[in-house]
Amino acid sequence: MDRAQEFIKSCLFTKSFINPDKPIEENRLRETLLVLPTDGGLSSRLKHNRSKLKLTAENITSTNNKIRHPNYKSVSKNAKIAMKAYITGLKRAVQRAKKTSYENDITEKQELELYLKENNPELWSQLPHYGEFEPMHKDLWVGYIKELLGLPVETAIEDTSKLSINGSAALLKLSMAEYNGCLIKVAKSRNKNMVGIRGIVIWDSQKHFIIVTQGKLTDEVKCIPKQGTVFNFQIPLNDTDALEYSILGDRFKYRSSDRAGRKFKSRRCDDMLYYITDL
Amino acid sequence: MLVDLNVAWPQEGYNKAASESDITKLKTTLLTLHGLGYTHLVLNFTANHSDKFPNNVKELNPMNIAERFGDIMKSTGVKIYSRITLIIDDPSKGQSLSKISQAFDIVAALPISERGLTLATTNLDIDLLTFNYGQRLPTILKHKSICSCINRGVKVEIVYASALRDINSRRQFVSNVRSVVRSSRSRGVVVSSGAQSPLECRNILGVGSLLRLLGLGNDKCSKAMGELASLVLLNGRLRNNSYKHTVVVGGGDETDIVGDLEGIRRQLKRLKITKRLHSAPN
Repeated sequence: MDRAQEFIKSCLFTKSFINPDKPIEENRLRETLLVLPTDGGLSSRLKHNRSKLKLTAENITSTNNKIRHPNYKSVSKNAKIAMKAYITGLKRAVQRAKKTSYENDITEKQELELYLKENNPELWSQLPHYGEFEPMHKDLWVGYIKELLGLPVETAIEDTSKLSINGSAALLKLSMAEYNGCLIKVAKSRNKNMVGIRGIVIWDSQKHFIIVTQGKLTDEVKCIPKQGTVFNFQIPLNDTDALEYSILGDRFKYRSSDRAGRKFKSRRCDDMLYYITDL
Repeated sequence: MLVDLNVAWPQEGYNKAASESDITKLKTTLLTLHGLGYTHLVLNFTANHSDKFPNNVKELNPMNIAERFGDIMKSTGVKIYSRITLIIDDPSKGQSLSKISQAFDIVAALPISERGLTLATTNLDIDLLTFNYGQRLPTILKHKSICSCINRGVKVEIVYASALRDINSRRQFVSNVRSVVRSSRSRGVVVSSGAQSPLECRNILGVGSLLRLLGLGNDKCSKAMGELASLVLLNGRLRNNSYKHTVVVGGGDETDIVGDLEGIRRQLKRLKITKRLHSAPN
Protein backbone atom coordinates (compact mmCIF):
# COMPACT_ATOMS: atom_id res chain seq x y z
CA MET A 1 0.00 0.00 0.00
CA ASP A 2 0.90 3.62 0.15
CA ARG A 3 3.95 4.00 2.32
CA ALA A 4 3.42 7.60 3.04
CA GLN A 5 0.11 6.95 4.77
CA GLU A 6 1.75 4.51 7.11
CA PHE A 7 4.59 6.85 7.87
CA ILE A 8 2.19 9.67 8.70
CA LYS A 9 0.25 7.41 11.04
CA SER A 10 3.20 5.85 12.84
CA CYS A 11 5.47 8.83 13.14
CA LEU A 12 3.29 11.92 13.19
CA PHE A 13 -0.19 11.05 14.44
CA THR A 14 1.08 8.96 17.36
CA LYS A 15 2.75 12.03 18.75
CA SER A 16 -0.16 14.42 18.60
CA PHE A 17 -3.34 12.34 18.85
CA ILE A 18 -4.53 9.83 21.44
CA ASN A 19 -5.95 7.47 18.86
CA PRO A 20 -3.72 7.53 15.75
CA ASP A 21 -6.19 5.43 13.71
CA LYS A 22 -8.91 8.02 14.04
CA PRO A 23 -7.38 11.46 14.42
CA ILE A 24 -10.70 13.30 14.07
CA GLU A 25 -13.44 12.22 16.39
CA GLU A 26 -16.99 12.17 15.27
CA ASN A 27 -18.49 13.99 18.24
CA ARG A 28 -15.85 16.67 18.08
CA LEU A 29 -18.42 19.34 17.21
CA ARG A 30 -20.00 20.69 20.32
CA GLU A 31 -23.69 21.39 20.38
CA THR A 32 -23.19 25.07 21.08
CA LEU A 33 -21.49 25.47 17.75
CA LEU A 34 -24.55 24.38 15.83
CA VAL A 35 -26.22 27.09 13.76
CA LEU A 36 -29.31 28.46 15.38
CA PRO A 37 -32.46 28.91 13.31
CA THR A 38 -33.07 32.54 12.29
CA ASP A 39 -36.16 34.55 11.53
CA GLY A 40 -34.80 35.58 8.13
CA GLY A 41 -33.86 39.11 9.20
CA LEU A 42 -37.45 39.88 10.19
CA SER A 43 -36.73 41.19 13.68
CA SER A 44 -33.96 43.55 12.55
CA ARG A 45 -36.16 44.83 9.75
CA LEU A 46 -38.97 45.50 12.19
CA LYS A 47 -36.60 47.31 14.50
CA HIS A 48 -35.36 49.46 11.63
CA ASN A 49 -38.90 50.32 10.57
CA ARG A 50 -39.91 51.17 14.10
CA SER A 51 -37.09 53.67 14.44
CA LYS A 52 -38.34 55.35 11.28
CA LEU A 53 -41.85 55.65 12.65
CA LYS A 54 -40.75 57.48 15.77
CA LEU A 55 -41.76 61.11 15.87
CA THR A 56 -38.41 62.76 16.41
CA ALA A 57 -37.40 66.15 15.06
CA GLU A 58 -34.83 64.53 12.84
CA ASN A 59 -37.31 62.20 11.23
CA ILE A 60 -39.80 64.95 10.51
CA THR A 61 -37.29 67.25 8.81
CA SER A 62 -35.49 64.54 6.92
CA THR A 63 -38.63 63.05 5.38
CA ASN A 64 -38.98 66.17 3.25
CA ASN A 65 -35.63 65.48 1.59
CA LYS A 66 -36.36 61.86 1.02
CA ILE A 67 -39.24 62.30 -1.37
CA ARG A 68 -38.12 60.18 -4.27
CA HIS A 69 -39.90 59.30 -7.36
CA PRO A 70 -41.28 55.77 -6.92
CA ASN A 71 -39.86 54.53 -10.21
CA TYR A 72 -36.97 56.89 -10.75
CA LYS A 73 -34.89 54.32 -12.60
CA SER A 74 -37.43 53.64 -15.30
CA VAL A 75 -38.16 57.36 -15.67
CA SER A 76 -34.51 58.18 -16.26
CA LYS A 77 -34.14 55.25 -18.62
CA ASN A 78 -37.18 56.33 -20.61
CA ALA A 79 -35.86 59.89 -20.74
CA LYS A 80 -32.60 58.65 -22.22
CA ILE A 81 -34.43 56.59 -24.81
CA ALA A 82 -36.66 59.52 -25.71
CA MET A 83 -33.64 61.82 -26.03
CA LYS A 84 -31.89 59.37 -28.32
CA ALA A 85 -35.01 58.88 -30.41
CA TYR A 86 -35.42 62.66 -30.72
CA ILE A 87 -31.86 63.16 -31.91
CA THR A 88 -31.90 60.27 -34.37
CA GLY A 89 -35.27 61.48 -35.66
CA LEU A 90 -33.81 64.93 -36.34
CA LYS A 91 -30.75 63.45 -38.00
CA ARG A 92 -32.83 61.20 -40.24
CA ALA A 93 -35.02 64.14 -41.22
CA VAL A 94 -31.92 66.17 -42.15
CA GLN A 95 -30.67 63.27 -44.25
CA ARG A 96 -33.97 62.97 -46.04
CA ALA A 97 -34.10 66.71 -46.65
CA LYS A 98 -30.61 66.62 -48.12
CA LYS A 99 -31.58 63.73 -50.33
CA THR A 100 -34.63 65.54 -51.68
CA SER A 101 -32.53 68.64 -52.33
CA TYR A 102 -30.05 66.53 -54.23
CA GLU A 103 -32.76 64.83 -56.27
CA ASN A 104 -34.41 68.12 -57.17
CA ASP A 105 -31.17 70.08 -57.77
CA ILE A 106 -31.80 72.57 -54.99
CA THR A 107 -28.71 74.43 -53.75
CA GLU A 108 -30.20 77.31 -51.77
CA LYS A 109 -31.57 77.15 -48.24
CA GLN A 110 -34.54 79.39 -49.08
CA GLU A 111 -35.40 77.34 -52.11
CA LEU A 112 -35.37 74.11 -50.14
CA GLU A 113 -37.55 75.67 -47.47
CA LEU A 114 -40.17 76.71 -50.01
CA TYR A 115 -40.04 73.37 -51.75
CA LEU A 116 -40.44 71.38 -48.58
CA LYS A 117 -43.23 73.57 -47.24
CA GLU A 118 -45.15 73.02 -50.47
CA ASN A 119 -44.48 69.38 -51.20
CA ASN A 120 -43.50 67.74 -47.94
CA PRO A 121 -44.76 69.73 -44.95
CA GLU A 122 -44.40 66.67 -42.75
CA LEU A 123 -40.66 66.51 -43.32
CA TRP A 124 -40.37 70.27 -42.83
CA SER A 125 -41.94 69.98 -39.40
CA GLN A 126 -39.53 67.21 -38.46
CA LEU A 127 -36.43 69.20 -39.34
CA PRO A 128 -34.54 71.08 -36.59
CA HIS A 129 -34.93 74.84 -36.88
CA TYR A 130 -32.21 77.08 -35.55
CA GLY A 131 -34.65 79.94 -35.25
CA GLU A 132 -36.71 78.01 -32.74
CA PHE A 133 -33.74 77.62 -30.45
CA GLU A 134 -32.45 81.17 -30.81
CA PRO A 135 -34.67 82.65 -28.06
CA MET A 136 -33.28 79.97 -25.73
CA HIS A 137 -29.90 81.65 -26.13
CA LYS A 138 -30.86 85.29 -26.51
CA ASP A 139 -33.64 85.58 -23.98
CA LEU A 140 -32.85 82.90 -21.44
CA TRP A 141 -29.17 82.04 -21.31
CA VAL A 142 -27.63 85.48 -21.80
CA GLY A 143 -29.82 86.91 -19.07
CA TYR A 144 -29.04 84.02 -16.79
CA ILE A 145 -25.29 84.22 -17.20
CA LYS A 146 -25.26 88.00 -16.79
CA GLU A 147 -27.23 87.66 -13.59
CA LEU A 148 -24.83 84.96 -12.41
CA LEU A 149 -21.77 87.12 -12.97
CA GLY A 150 -23.36 90.22 -11.51
CA LEU A 151 -23.49 92.19 -14.75
CA PRO A 152 -26.42 94.52 -15.44
CA VAL A 153 -28.98 92.40 -17.28
CA GLU A 154 -31.21 94.89 -19.05
CA THR A 155 -28.88 97.75 -19.93
CA ALA A 156 -25.83 97.42 -22.14
CA ILE A 157 -22.53 98.54 -20.69
CA GLU A 158 -21.27 101.59 -22.57
CA ASP A 159 -17.65 101.78 -21.48
CA THR A 160 -16.27 98.26 -21.26
CA SER A 161 -12.87 99.36 -19.97
CA LYS A 162 -14.50 100.40 -16.71
CA LEU A 163 -16.03 96.97 -16.18
CA SER A 164 -15.40 95.89 -12.63
CA ILE A 165 -16.06 92.29 -11.74
CA ASN A 166 -13.80 89.88 -9.95
CA GLY A 167 -12.20 87.74 -12.62
CA SER A 168 -11.38 84.71 -10.50
CA ALA A 169 -14.80 84.66 -8.83
CA ALA A 170 -16.37 84.83 -12.28
CA LEU A 171 -14.32 81.82 -13.39
CA LEU A 172 -15.45 79.87 -10.34
CA LYS A 173 -19.08 80.66 -11.07
CA LEU A 174 -18.70 79.77 -14.74
CA SER A 175 -17.25 76.39 -13.83
CA MET A 176 -20.56 75.42 -12.28
CA ALA A 177 -22.89 77.33 -14.57
CA GLU A 178 -25.53 75.86 -16.81
CA TYR A 179 -24.69 75.69 -20.50
CA ASN A 180 -27.98 74.64 -22.07
CA GLY A 181 -28.72 77.50 -24.44
CA CYS A 182 -25.18 78.77 -24.71
CA LEU A 183 -23.86 79.66 -28.16
CA ILE A 184 -20.59 77.75 -28.33
CA LYS A 185 -17.96 77.35 -30.97
CA VAL A 186 -15.38 74.59 -31.30
CA ALA A 187 -12.11 76.49 -30.99
CA LYS A 188 -9.65 73.61 -30.99
CA SER A 189 -10.02 69.90 -31.34
CA ARG A 190 -8.07 66.77 -31.99
CA ASN A 191 -10.49 66.16 -34.80
CA LYS A 192 -9.65 69.03 -37.15
CA ASN A 193 -12.94 68.69 -39.02
CA MET A 194 -14.86 69.89 -36.00
CA VAL A 195 -13.00 73.16 -35.61
CA GLY A 196 -15.25 76.10 -36.32
CA ILE A 197 -18.62 74.44 -35.72
CA ARG A 198 -20.87 76.93 -34.01
CA GLY A 199 -24.28 76.40 -32.50
CA ILE A 200 -26.63 76.56 -29.55
CA VAL A 201 -26.36 73.88 -26.89
CA ILE A 202 -29.64 72.07 -26.48
CA TRP A 203 -28.40 69.45 -24.08
CA ASP A 204 -25.27 69.26 -21.95
CA SER A 205 -24.76 65.54 -21.36
CA GLN A 206 -21.91 63.94 -19.48
CA LYS A 207 -19.62 63.40 -22.42
CA HIS A 208 -21.18 65.40 -25.23
CA PHE A 209 -22.57 68.78 -26.05
CA ILE A 210 -25.59 68.38 -28.33
CA ILE A 211 -25.88 71.51 -30.40
CA VAL A 212 -28.07 72.94 -33.14
CA THR A 213 -26.10 74.52 -35.95
CA GLN A 214 -26.96 76.54 -38.98
CA GLY A 215 -26.06 74.63 -42.11
CA LYS A 216 -25.84 75.48 -45.78
CA LEU A 217 -29.00 73.66 -46.75
CA THR A 218 -30.73 72.81 -43.51
CA ASP A 219 -30.11 73.41 -39.83
CA GLU A 220 -28.52 70.40 -38.20
CA VAL A 221 -28.14 68.72 -34.84
CA LYS A 222 -24.63 67.66 -33.91
CA CYS A 223 -23.19 65.76 -30.95
CA ILE A 224 -19.77 67.14 -30.15
CA PRO A 225 -17.71 65.00 -27.74
CA LYS A 226 -16.16 66.93 -24.91
CA GLN A 227 -13.05 64.79 -24.89
CA GLY A 228 -10.26 66.42 -26.84
CA THR A 229 -12.12 69.63 -27.64
CA VAL A 230 -11.91 73.22 -26.49
CA PHE A 231 -15.12 75.23 -26.71
CA ASN A 232 -15.28 78.97 -26.93
CA PHE A 233 -18.16 81.19 -25.86
CA GLN A 234 -18.88 84.86 -25.46
CA ILE A 235 -20.95 86.84 -23.00
CA PRO A 236 -22.20 89.94 -24.81
CA LEU A 237 -21.74 93.24 -22.99
CA ASN A 238 -23.02 95.62 -25.65
CA ASP A 239 -23.37 95.60 -29.43
CA THR A 240 -19.67 95.50 -30.21
CA ASP A 241 -17.92 93.99 -27.20
CA ALA A 242 -18.16 90.72 -25.35
CA LEU A 243 -16.40 88.83 -22.59
CA GLU A 244 -14.61 85.80 -23.94
CA TYR A 245 -14.09 82.47 -22.19
CA SER A 246 -13.33 78.94 -23.25
CA ILE A 247 -14.17 75.55 -21.81
CA LEU A 248 -11.62 72.76 -21.72
CA GLY A 249 -13.78 69.79 -22.62
CA ASP A 250 -11.32 67.28 -21.21
CA ARG A 251 -11.85 68.61 -17.69
CA PHE A 252 -15.56 69.22 -18.10
CA LYS A 253 -16.84 65.69 -18.45
CA TYR A 254 -19.57 65.86 -15.82
CA ARG A 255 -23.29 66.36 -16.04
CA SER A 256 -24.36 69.86 -15.12
CA SER A 257 -26.08 68.65 -11.96
CA ASP A 258 -22.90 66.90 -10.81
CA ARG A 259 -20.75 69.83 -11.78
CA ALA A 260 -22.63 72.25 -9.52
CA GLY A 261 -21.39 70.80 -6.27
CA ARG A 262 -18.12 69.48 -7.53
CA LYS A 263 -14.69 70.35 -6.28
CA PHE A 264 -12.44 70.50 -9.31
CA LYS A 265 -8.78 69.65 -9.09
CA SER A 266 -6.09 70.60 -11.54
CA ARG A 267 -4.51 67.56 -13.09
CA ARG A 268 -1.47 67.06 -15.23
CA CYS A 269 -2.18 68.42 -18.67
CA ASP A 270 -0.10 66.07 -20.82
CA ASP A 271 -3.20 65.09 -22.77
CA MET A 272 -3.90 68.66 -23.82
CA LEU A 273 -1.04 69.17 -26.22
CA TYR A 274 -3.53 69.83 -29.01
CA TYR A 275 -4.50 73.04 -27.23
CA ILE A 276 -1.18 74.71 -28.04
CA THR A 277 -1.52 76.29 -31.46
CA ASP A 278 1.94 76.80 -32.89
CA LEU A 279 3.50 73.48 -32.08
CA MET B 1 7.94 75.64 -31.31
CA LEU B 2 11.22 75.72 -29.46
CA VAL B 3 11.15 76.75 -25.84
CA ASP B 4 13.89 77.97 -23.55
CA LEU B 5 12.53 77.78 -20.04
CA ASN B 6 15.42 79.49 -18.30
CA VAL B 7 17.10 82.75 -19.26
CA ALA B 8 18.59 84.21 -16.11
CA TRP B 9 17.17 87.54 -14.96
CA PRO B 10 20.10 89.66 -13.70
CA GLN B 11 18.88 90.12 -10.16
CA GLU B 12 18.82 88.03 -7.03
CA GLY B 13 16.27 88.72 -4.36
CA TYR B 14 14.09 91.80 -4.14
CA ASN B 15 16.59 94.13 -2.55
CA LYS B 16 18.68 95.08 -5.56
CA ALA B 17 17.00 96.08 -8.80
CA ALA B 18 18.50 95.10 -12.15
CA SER B 19 20.71 97.78 -13.70
CA GLU B 20 20.33 99.15 -17.23
CA SER B 21 23.57 97.59 -18.48
CA ASP B 22 22.43 94.19 -17.27
CA ILE B 23 19.19 94.56 -19.16
CA THR B 24 20.89 95.52 -22.40
CA LYS B 25 23.05 92.41 -21.98
CA LEU B 26 19.92 90.37 -21.40
CA LYS B 27 18.41 91.80 -24.56
CA THR B 28 21.41 90.64 -26.60
CA THR B 29 21.00 87.17 -25.04
CA LEU B 30 17.34 87.12 -26.03
CA LEU B 31 18.18 88.17 -29.57
CA THR B 32 20.84 85.48 -29.80
CA LEU B 33 18.35 82.88 -28.67
CA HIS B 34 15.90 84.13 -31.28
CA GLY B 35 18.65 83.77 -33.87
CA LEU B 36 19.14 80.17 -32.79
CA GLY B 37 15.51 79.43 -33.56
CA TYR B 38 13.80 79.71 -30.20
CA THR B 39 10.23 80.99 -30.27
CA HIS B 40 9.23 81.03 -26.59
CA LEU B 41 11.62 82.40 -23.97
CA VAL B 42 11.18 82.46 -20.23
CA LEU B 43 12.97 84.91 -17.94
CA ASN B 44 13.96 83.29 -14.69
CA PHE B 45 13.94 85.23 -11.44
CA THR B 46 15.55 83.38 -8.55
CA ALA B 47 14.59 84.05 -4.96
CA ASN B 48 14.93 82.33 -1.63
CA HIS B 49 11.76 80.67 -0.42
CA SER B 50 12.32 81.97 3.09
CA ASP B 51 12.94 85.56 1.96
CA LYS B 52 10.48 88.31 2.62
CA PHE B 53 8.25 88.89 -0.38
CA PRO B 54 6.56 92.23 -1.02
CA ASN B 55 2.97 92.36 0.13
CA ASN B 56 1.63 94.07 -2.94
CA VAL B 57 0.95 91.61 -5.77
CA LYS B 58 1.98 94.17 -8.37
CA GLU B 59 5.46 94.50 -6.88
CA LEU B 60 6.05 90.75 -6.80
CA ASN B 61 7.17 90.59 -10.39
CA PRO B 62 10.21 92.85 -10.96
CA MET B 63 10.49 92.17 -14.69
CA ASN B 64 7.90 94.40 -16.32
CA ILE B 65 8.09 92.37 -19.51
CA ALA B 66 5.55 94.28 -21.57
CA GLU B 67 7.36 97.60 -21.14
CA ARG B 68 10.96 96.49 -21.34
CA PHE B 69 10.77 93.78 -23.98
CA GLY B 70 7.65 94.78 -25.89
CA ASP B 71 9.73 96.04 -28.82
CA ILE B 72 11.72 92.78 -29.04
CA MET B 73 8.53 90.73 -28.96
CA LYS B 74 7.01 92.86 -31.70
CA SER B 75 10.03 92.95 -34.02
CA THR B 76 11.11 89.31 -33.72
CA GLY B 77 7.90 87.51 -32.84
CA VAL B 78 9.34 85.66 -29.86
CA LYS B 79 7.11 85.35 -26.84
CA ILE B 80 8.58 86.16 -23.46
CA TYR B 81 7.23 84.82 -20.19
CA SER B 82 8.25 85.18 -16.58
CA ARG B 83 9.25 82.50 -14.14
CA ILE B 84 10.20 82.40 -10.49
CA THR B 85 12.57 79.81 -9.07
CA LEU B 86 12.28 79.33 -5.34
CA ILE B 87 15.37 78.05 -3.56
CA ILE B 88 13.97 75.72 -0.93
CA ASP B 89 16.16 74.96 2.05
CA ASP B 90 14.11 74.66 5.20
CA PRO B 91 10.46 73.92 4.45
CA SER B 92 9.25 75.28 7.78
CA LYS B 93 10.31 78.81 6.92
CA GLY B 94 8.59 78.89 3.54
CA GLN B 95 5.40 80.67 2.70
CA SER B 96 2.38 79.79 0.62
CA LEU B 97 2.82 79.82 -3.12
CA SER B 98 -0.68 80.92 -4.05
CA LYS B 99 0.11 84.61 -3.93
CA ILE B 100 3.54 84.29 -5.54
CA SER B 101 2.23 82.20 -8.40
CA GLN B 102 -0.28 84.89 -9.34
CA ALA B 103 2.45 87.21 -10.52
CA PHE B 104 4.51 84.73 -12.55
CA ASP B 105 3.73 82.42 -15.44
CA ILE B 106 5.79 79.49 -14.21
CA VAL B 107 6.76 78.51 -10.69
CA ALA B 108 9.83 76.31 -10.24
CA ALA B 109 11.46 74.85 -7.16
CA LEU B 110 15.15 74.40 -6.53
CA PRO B 111 15.68 72.24 -3.44
CA ILE B 112 19.09 72.43 -1.78
CA SER B 113 18.41 70.09 1.12
CA GLU B 114 16.85 66.70 1.51
CA ARG B 115 13.79 68.01 3.32
CA GLY B 116 13.37 70.66 0.68
CA LEU B 117 13.38 67.98 -1.99
CA THR B 118 10.70 65.98 -0.19
CA LEU B 119 8.53 69.06 0.11
CA ALA B 120 9.00 70.01 -3.53
CA THR B 121 8.23 66.55 -4.85
CA THR B 122 5.15 65.92 -2.71
CA ASN B 123 3.26 69.00 -1.68
CA LEU B 124 4.16 72.14 -3.55
CA ASP B 125 1.99 73.32 -6.43
CA ILE B 126 4.80 73.89 -8.92
CA ASP B 127 5.37 73.35 -12.63
CA LEU B 128 9.03 72.55 -12.67
CA LEU B 129 11.63 70.91 -10.48
CA THR B 130 15.17 72.06 -11.03
CA PHE B 131 18.56 71.56 -9.38
CA ASN B 132 21.75 73.47 -9.07
CA TYR B 133 23.75 71.51 -11.61
CA GLY B 134 27.07 73.18 -10.80
CA GLN B 135 27.12 71.71 -7.30
CA ARG B 136 26.50 68.36 -5.75
CA LEU B 137 22.85 67.30 -5.59
CA PRO B 138 21.35 67.54 -2.08
CA THR B 139 20.73 63.79 -1.88
CA ILE B 140 20.77 60.72 -4.02
CA LEU B 141 17.65 61.02 -6.14
CA LYS B 142 15.21 58.20 -5.67
CA HIS B 143 13.22 56.92 -8.57
CA LYS B 144 10.08 56.74 -6.45
CA SER B 145 9.98 60.36 -5.40
CA ILE B 146 11.02 61.83 -8.74
CA CYS B 147 8.64 59.66 -10.77
CA SER B 148 5.67 60.32 -8.48
CA CYS B 149 6.41 63.98 -8.96
CA ILE B 150 6.46 63.56 -12.75
CA ASN B 151 3.19 61.63 -12.63
CA ARG B 152 1.64 64.65 -10.95
CA GLY B 153 2.60 66.70 -14.02
CA VAL B 154 5.72 68.39 -12.69
CA LYS B 155 8.65 68.23 -15.11
CA VAL B 156 12.31 67.98 -14.19
CA GLU B 157 14.61 70.55 -15.70
CA ILE B 158 18.20 70.16 -16.88
CA VAL B 159 20.14 73.43 -17.14
CA TYR B 160 23.12 73.17 -19.45
CA ALA B 161 24.75 76.50 -18.59
CA SER B 162 26.95 74.92 -15.92
CA ALA B 163 28.37 72.54 -18.52
CA LEU B 164 29.90 75.56 -20.24
CA ARG B 165 31.60 77.17 -17.24
CA ASP B 166 34.65 75.92 -15.31
CA ILE B 167 35.89 72.35 -15.19
CA ASN B 168 34.63 71.60 -11.70
CA SER B 169 31.04 72.50 -12.42
CA ARG B 170 31.27 70.61 -15.70
CA ARG B 171 32.23 67.46 -13.81
CA GLN B 172 29.35 67.92 -11.41
CA PHE B 173 27.00 68.59 -14.30
CA VAL B 174 27.75 65.26 -15.93
CA SER B 175 27.21 63.22 -12.79
CA ASN B 176 24.10 65.21 -11.81
CA VAL B 177 22.47 64.85 -15.20
CA ARG B 178 23.21 61.12 -15.20
CA SER B 179 21.55 60.88 -11.81
CA VAL B 180 18.48 62.87 -12.90
CA VAL B 181 18.05 60.86 -16.09
CA ARG B 182 18.39 57.62 -14.16
CA SER B 183 15.96 58.51 -11.42
CA SER B 184 13.34 59.94 -13.76
CA ARG B 185 13.81 57.03 -16.21
CA SER B 186 14.05 59.75 -18.89
CA ARG B 187 10.38 60.65 -18.49
CA GLY B 188 9.33 64.25 -18.24
CA VAL B 189 12.77 65.79 -18.64
CA VAL B 190 12.98 69.30 -20.09
CA VAL B 191 16.15 71.14 -21.08
CA SER B 192 16.87 74.83 -20.80
CA SER B 193 19.87 77.07 -21.16
CA GLY B 194 20.09 79.13 -17.98
CA ALA B 195 22.14 81.56 -20.05
CA GLN B 196 23.60 84.64 -18.42
CA SER B 197 25.41 85.84 -21.53
CA PRO B 198 24.90 85.34 -25.27
CA LEU B 199 27.86 82.94 -25.36
CA GLU B 200 26.03 80.39 -23.23
CA CYS B 201 23.27 79.77 -25.75
CA ARG B 202 23.24 76.67 -27.94
CA ASN B 203 20.87 75.57 -30.66
CA ILE B 204 18.79 72.41 -30.66
CA LEU B 205 21.46 70.29 -32.39
CA GLY B 206 24.15 71.17 -29.87
CA VAL B 207 21.92 70.52 -26.88
CA GLY B 208 20.57 67.33 -28.42
CA SER B 209 23.99 65.84 -28.98
CA LEU B 210 25.08 66.78 -25.46
CA LEU B 211 22.07 65.02 -23.97
CA ARG B 212 22.45 61.97 -26.16
CA LEU B 213 25.95 61.70 -24.81
CA LEU B 214 24.60 61.80 -21.27
CA GLY B 215 22.13 58.98 -21.82
CA LEU B 216 18.82 60.59 -22.75
CA GLY B 217 16.97 58.78 -25.53
CA ASN B 218 17.16 60.09 -29.06
CA ASP B 219 13.48 61.01 -29.29
CA LYS B 220 13.41 62.51 -25.81
CA CYS B 221 16.02 65.13 -26.73
CA SER B 222 13.89 67.07 -29.18
CA LYS B 223 10.78 66.55 -27.03
CA ALA B 224 12.60 68.02 -24.06
CA MET B 225 12.83 71.41 -25.76
CA GLY B 226 9.57 71.29 -27.71
CA GLU B 227 6.49 69.47 -26.51
CA LEU B 228 7.30 68.88 -22.86
CA ALA B 229 8.58 72.40 -22.35
CA SER B 230 5.47 73.84 -23.93
CA LEU B 231 3.38 71.70 -21.59
CA VAL B 232 5.15 73.39 -18.69
CA LEU B 233 4.14 76.73 -20.15
CA LEU B 234 0.56 75.52 -20.63
CA ASN B 235 0.36 74.23 -17.08
CA GLY B 236 1.69 77.45 -15.65
CA ARG B 237 -0.54 79.66 -17.76
CA LEU B 238 -3.61 77.61 -16.96
CA ARG B 239 -3.00 77.95 -13.25
CA ASN B 240 -3.40 81.69 -13.43
CA ASN B 241 -5.92 82.04 -16.21
CA SER B 242 -8.40 79.30 -15.47
CA TYR B 243 -10.41 77.86 -12.65
CA LYS B 244 -8.79 74.47 -12.00
CA HIS B 245 -8.31 73.86 -15.74
CA THR B 246 -12.03 73.96 -16.50
CA VAL B 247 -13.00 77.40 -17.76
CA VAL B 248 -10.29 79.57 -19.28
CA VAL B 249 -10.18 83.31 -19.86
CA GLY B 250 -10.08 84.22 -23.54
CA GLY B 251 -8.90 81.78 -26.15
CA GLY B 252 -10.63 82.46 -29.43
CA ASP B 253 -9.76 80.95 -32.80
CA GLU B 254 -6.15 81.74 -33.46
CA THR B 255 -4.87 82.12 -29.94
CA ASP B 256 -4.62 79.81 -27.01
CA ILE B 257 -3.67 80.58 -23.50
CA VAL B 258 0.05 80.13 -24.20
CA GLY B 259 0.20 82.18 -27.36
CA ASP B 260 -2.02 84.95 -26.05
CA LEU B 261 0.43 87.80 -25.61
CA GLU B 262 -2.06 90.26 -24.19
CA GLY B 263 -2.49 87.86 -21.35
CA ILE B 264 0.88 88.85 -19.98
CA ARG B 265 -0.39 92.36 -19.52
CA ARG B 266 -3.82 91.64 -18.11
CA GLN B 267 -2.67 88.78 -15.99
CA LEU B 268 -3.93 90.14 -12.70
CA LYS B 269 -7.32 91.11 -14.07
CA ARG B 270 -8.43 87.78 -15.53
CA LEU B 271 -10.93 89.23 -17.96
CA LYS B 272 -10.79 89.40 -21.71
CA ILE B 273 -12.97 91.68 -23.74
CA THR B 274 -13.16 91.05 -27.47
CA LYS B 275 -15.21 91.98 -30.47
CA ARG B 276 -18.62 90.43 -30.29
CA LEU B 277 -19.47 87.82 -32.90
CA HIS B 278 -23.01 88.11 -34.15
CA SER B 279 -24.81 84.94 -34.92
CA ALA B 280 -24.21 84.82 -38.65
CA PRO B 281 -24.81 81.67 -40.66
CA ASN B 282 -21.79 79.42 -41.08
